[in-house]
Amino acid sequence: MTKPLLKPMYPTLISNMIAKRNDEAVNEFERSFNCRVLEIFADNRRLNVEELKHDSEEFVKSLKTEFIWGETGKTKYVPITRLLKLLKNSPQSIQDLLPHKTVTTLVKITNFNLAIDITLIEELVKTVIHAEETYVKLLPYAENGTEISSYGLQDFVSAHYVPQMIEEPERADYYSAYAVGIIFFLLDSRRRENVYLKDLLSSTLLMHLELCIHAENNCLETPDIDVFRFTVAQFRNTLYEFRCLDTDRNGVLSPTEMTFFREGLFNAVFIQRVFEISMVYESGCLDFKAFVDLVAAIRFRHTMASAKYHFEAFDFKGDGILDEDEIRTAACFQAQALPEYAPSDDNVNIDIVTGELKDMLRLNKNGVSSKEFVNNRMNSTFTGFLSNYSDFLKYERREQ
Amino acid sequence: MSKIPVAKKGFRSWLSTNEGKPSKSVLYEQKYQIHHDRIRNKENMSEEEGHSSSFVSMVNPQPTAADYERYDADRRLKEKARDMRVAQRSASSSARNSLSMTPEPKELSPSSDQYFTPKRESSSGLEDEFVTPSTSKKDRRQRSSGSRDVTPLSTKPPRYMSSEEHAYYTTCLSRKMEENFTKMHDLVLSGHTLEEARKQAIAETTSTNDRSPRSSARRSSVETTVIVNRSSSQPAPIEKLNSIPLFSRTSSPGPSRSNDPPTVHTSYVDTLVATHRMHMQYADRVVVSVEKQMTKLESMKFLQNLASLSPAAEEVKRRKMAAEALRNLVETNEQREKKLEVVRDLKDRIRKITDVQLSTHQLVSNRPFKGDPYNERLLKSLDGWTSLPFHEFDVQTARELHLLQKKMLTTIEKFKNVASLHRNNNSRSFNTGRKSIAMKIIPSQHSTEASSSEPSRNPPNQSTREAATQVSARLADVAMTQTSPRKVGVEPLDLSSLEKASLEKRHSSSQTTPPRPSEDASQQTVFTESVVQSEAACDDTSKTAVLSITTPTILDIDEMLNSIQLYNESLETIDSFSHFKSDISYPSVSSEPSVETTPRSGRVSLDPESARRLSSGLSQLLDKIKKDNESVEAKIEPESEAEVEVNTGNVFSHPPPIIQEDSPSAESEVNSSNQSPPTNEDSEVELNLCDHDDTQFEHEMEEQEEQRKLRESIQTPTPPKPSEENYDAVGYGQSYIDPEDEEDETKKFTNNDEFERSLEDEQSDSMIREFNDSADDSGFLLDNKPAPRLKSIFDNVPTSDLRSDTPRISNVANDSTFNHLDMEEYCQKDYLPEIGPVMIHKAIELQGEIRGLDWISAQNVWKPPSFEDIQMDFYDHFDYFDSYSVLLWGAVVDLINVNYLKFDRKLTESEERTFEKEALDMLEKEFGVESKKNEWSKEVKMSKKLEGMIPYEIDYRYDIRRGLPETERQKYQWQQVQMTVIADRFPKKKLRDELDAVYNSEKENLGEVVISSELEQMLDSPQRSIKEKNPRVSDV
Repeated sequence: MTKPLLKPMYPTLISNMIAKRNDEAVNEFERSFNCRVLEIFADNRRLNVEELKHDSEEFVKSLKTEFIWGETGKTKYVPITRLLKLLKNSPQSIQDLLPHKTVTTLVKITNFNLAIDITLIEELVKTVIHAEETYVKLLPYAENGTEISSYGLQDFVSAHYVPQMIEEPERADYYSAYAVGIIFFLLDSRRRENVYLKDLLSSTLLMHLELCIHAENNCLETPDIDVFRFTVAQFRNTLYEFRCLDTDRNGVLSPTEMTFFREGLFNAVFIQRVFEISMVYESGCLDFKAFVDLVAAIRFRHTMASAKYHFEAFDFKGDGILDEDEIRTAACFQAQALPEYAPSDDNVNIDIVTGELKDMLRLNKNGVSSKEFVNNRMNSTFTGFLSNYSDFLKYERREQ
Repeated sequence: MSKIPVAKKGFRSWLSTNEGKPSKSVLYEQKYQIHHDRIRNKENMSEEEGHSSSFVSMVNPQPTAADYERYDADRRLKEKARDMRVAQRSASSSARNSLSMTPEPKELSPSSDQYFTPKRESSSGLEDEFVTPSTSKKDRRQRSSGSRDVTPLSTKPPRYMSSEEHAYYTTCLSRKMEENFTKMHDLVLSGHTLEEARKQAIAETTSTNDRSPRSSARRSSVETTVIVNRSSSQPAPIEKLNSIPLFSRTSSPGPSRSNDPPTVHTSYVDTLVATHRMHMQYADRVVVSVEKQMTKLESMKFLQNLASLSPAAEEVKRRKMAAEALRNLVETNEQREKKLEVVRDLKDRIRKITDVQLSTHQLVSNRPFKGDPYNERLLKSLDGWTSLPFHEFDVQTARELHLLQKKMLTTIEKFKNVASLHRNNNSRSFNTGRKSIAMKIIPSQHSTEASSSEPSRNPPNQSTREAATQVSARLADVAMTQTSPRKVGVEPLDLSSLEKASLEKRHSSSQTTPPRPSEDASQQTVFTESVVQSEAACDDTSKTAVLSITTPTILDIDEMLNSIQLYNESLETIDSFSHFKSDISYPSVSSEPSVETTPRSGRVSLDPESARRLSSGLSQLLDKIKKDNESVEAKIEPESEAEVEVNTGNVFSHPPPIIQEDSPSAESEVNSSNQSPPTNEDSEVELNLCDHDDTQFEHEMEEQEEQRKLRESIQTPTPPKPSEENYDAVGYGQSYIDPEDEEDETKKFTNNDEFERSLEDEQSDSMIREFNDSADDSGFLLDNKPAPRLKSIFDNVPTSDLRSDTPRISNVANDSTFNHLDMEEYCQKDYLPEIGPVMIHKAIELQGEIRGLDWISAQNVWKPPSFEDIQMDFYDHFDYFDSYSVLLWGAVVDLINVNYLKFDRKLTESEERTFEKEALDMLEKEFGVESKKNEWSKEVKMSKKLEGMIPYEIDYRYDIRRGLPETERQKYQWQQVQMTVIADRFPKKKLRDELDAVYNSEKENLGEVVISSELEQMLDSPQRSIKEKNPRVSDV
């Protein structure tokens, strides 16, 4: 009688939270127990946020009594000394909000007599509260308190953001997959199943997503951060591009279909490699997610994630090192197809081009590792040069 | 097609067939998938969403057959339209050729329709005609599959219900769609606008849903709409679609095109626009809404039949329509506004050109001025342009803008030539006695008043007036001859009113900062300079160039200022950050271009006296601290003492030997004779140096000040020093001060007058700073003025002896250093090296107490030197100092806590040494002189991952980044701060700990519950057993 009771009495899940996610062995009891724990956790957080909101309101209020005017009489500043006095009387949560590091940075941004612009502090408070709230909202979708799977995030997007849109995307599920695809790509976890909530929140990508939605809802011009392309219009474009490429209409892109990608402007060998480094189906076809990855890699070429993507693509041997041979090969392919686009007057000498590219990467005999490549400032130029013809020509003719 | 097994049926079916098989490539691992499915079904499905959306396979947006249908139809329609257009064009062009070369007034029928009105024969053979090879292939497939299946459209695997109703429903729906679409299509082709067609189609659909009254209702509705909308000569279209009369075109309706502007110019462009719009609308409304409706409906699996379905669908549709209509309305309004703005801008320009022409004309001749006919004509026609379609409008205005710019350039050139000619021959040939209008500048009453009375307090409503006077000042330059700008008495140019705008426009309008009047330069140079500059501006950003030429009245100037903003908000401008953080406003951006230092105006600076006091007081304080530490570090003492001495010497910029001199009294004398003239001179020098940033009015103020000082210094050749006893007494108490220093101090300042004056100086200084804060940084462009009255002043100062020469010369030589103590410089250069080591030793000494403290509470353990309690008069000045030391101490405490106090023990010797070194490095890098050399983007420390994301689209190459405007940097930095702060708040470990805590407490609760229940059972069972055992007992 006691035996079956004893076993569930000591659930052993949380100690290995990560394993739990894929743990098929969890039984009903354990699962419900976990749920309960998470719920309580979320409740605690929610209470904390409420408290923080209240405290910060008080803080900001008192901050507004302790300021000096800037010289134009428009901006309010609070000097460090006064801030210090205020903080001494504030609750711990507010003190945590402004650690020394942050204060120093704010001072540097303000750049005025070692004081801090009050709006900066206000915005900071707002941002933090927003992040905390988002965290609480995310918790039900997260597997545990620290990370969230792409599926969870998709659910979150379609549950929280899609209903906010006036003009809903054609397919909400694909929209969320699209947004999540970009988020995961930018967070450098393209092939991972989970992403840390910390990264997700601190990237503020969700905030941008919200802003994009807001902008689109109110017919505002999309904000600058539009680079993140979360708007429905952009989603529609991508989906349209995908469908246009999918000439046989089977829902995936085969290598032949992909040759027409962006009017064939892309290096054939690069496209070919894209299939090899992406998650493909049995027949070697790209699905929409992988396609979004590719588009994101091209769009955000200045990011680390994109640099890694391109590095993988050009690392033909797959040994984690980019060496001269590989560069030469890529350049050869690039040069072969070139005459169609470029007039004959600038014939490309492979040796020269390779040398130039080597210089660009400061390549030594051993080649360059992924890490070095990512840290290299020229990598976006490099990848553009090798991956598509328009950038190639742009670079070739930069002096003309 | 069947090569790819996945494709046909989607991921799920693929999964079900392939389950268990090893797959070649990376896929979603099956067990995860299963797990997820299970979890979802259990947990989430029961929750509020009701449907699972994200577990659709990513095989792709698997398009439904209807999608393809739609795309095909879409393309077909496009191609058809194109073909017709081509045909029409060729026909019309040939026709035109036969008639005349001028574009014909085009038979007065609204143009775009004619291309879409099908000929009878073409409309009959429509479908086949426009089938392209690729579609035909698909069609064939469909047809074949259609023959196989019940219907071609049911090939898509049902997602949520495999029931027959669903299949039936989808078929029905798509057939309906198909039907509606073709109907609509035909309607459109037959000359209806999209709205009408759509309305009809929708009316039909709605009536379809309730089947019984359908036919009659539909017919009537259709007929009514048709009759209302079309001209009566036309037959009702639906039933007789294929028998549309050939001439329908001629009578096709005007009203439907009411929002289309009358086409004035090329019909082709117009047609293009119309076609394009039609396509857009078509794609937007019909397709999207219908499709959306479909997907929505699909996903509602609780719907069992069609009947219950219809209201929801309608509702959705209605919502969409409303949203769409609203958006359209807003859009058109917006467009209209923008157009109006552009038109206004254009008009402004024309007016300005006319003005310039007028003044040129007046310089040259006596005859009345009759403007430029072209401009007049343009001015008249401009109003009509707003009704042009957007694209056309854009083209037209751009062209005109270009023309106007050219014209403006030539006009200016002409004016310049004429003006110079006029000036040269002023007395002779052109001696007409006329003044040009541009010269009649009456310095406005307000401005002079405003400038003479307290300029530091800007009344809030002054901005426009300011702007006006600024411009008039500039005008005075341009108009050169008669009045010297100095006499105009205008206020200094203060572009603060423009600052905001210019910031928002990302400094695109930086060209508008006008040349400032330079009093000493000759009129000639001023004039040419300004014109040259404006020309340069023309060349650079030809947009703003025009604006630097001005018109005399204040009204016009206001308008001009407005137009500066307006123009910059060109049609596509996105003002980005305001959406992002609409209410965030950054501190005024530094007016100096250098990244290296805080703007002068942003700094606190002290006058020499207080600087001296400050530094000597400081050194004493430090001495005291060091003496306290003596026991600990006996060996450091002597050299640091010397160091302090030297440093204080440096601060004063005295040559050290002076202090070393013999008797205190002699020294004081030497000092007194030595001190006062330099202070005067230095302030002069400083003022002169400030000239670069100063404006005319300030110059006047300064001049007066100088005069006054001069008089004073003559009257009192050797000013006695102010007594500072009270300061000392309050400040440091006797215990702090060495007798020597004390004496020195007391003797240094004995004159109250001097002290007061220093206060005055300070005030004027602060005033100057106030002015410098304006965005006008063009001052440095004009620094080629001859050196002002330096020499004369020095000559007149009676006490200028040999000694005083030395500092002066040095000051003149390196003009970047102020004898005026600059707080920032002082703190970074002199204070930091002294206090740094002290703080570090304190930190080591007090390590036990500061363990685990943050920068706030660490202040309670040890307080760095501060003026907080000492001198309230100079609170603002010492604020900087106090803040600086607070930050320093906080940084040291942070560092030692993070890196060295992890373990609960004292630091070892070697650790102490490394800490010392690291802390010194850190302080120097973060707070020292070097801190300004950091790349700005690196100022915020980020984790690797965040850095890699590069939140904004900023090129990471240094040179490009350096060129970014200030706002961009702040944006970027702000983003970085945001990221780091959030990242700090959600460390994995903390979260996990928190979760663990909850988990443990829950576990305990559970354990208690379980144990208590067990106990109860245990208790129960013995009782029972006892009962069972001893029934007798109870009986007894």
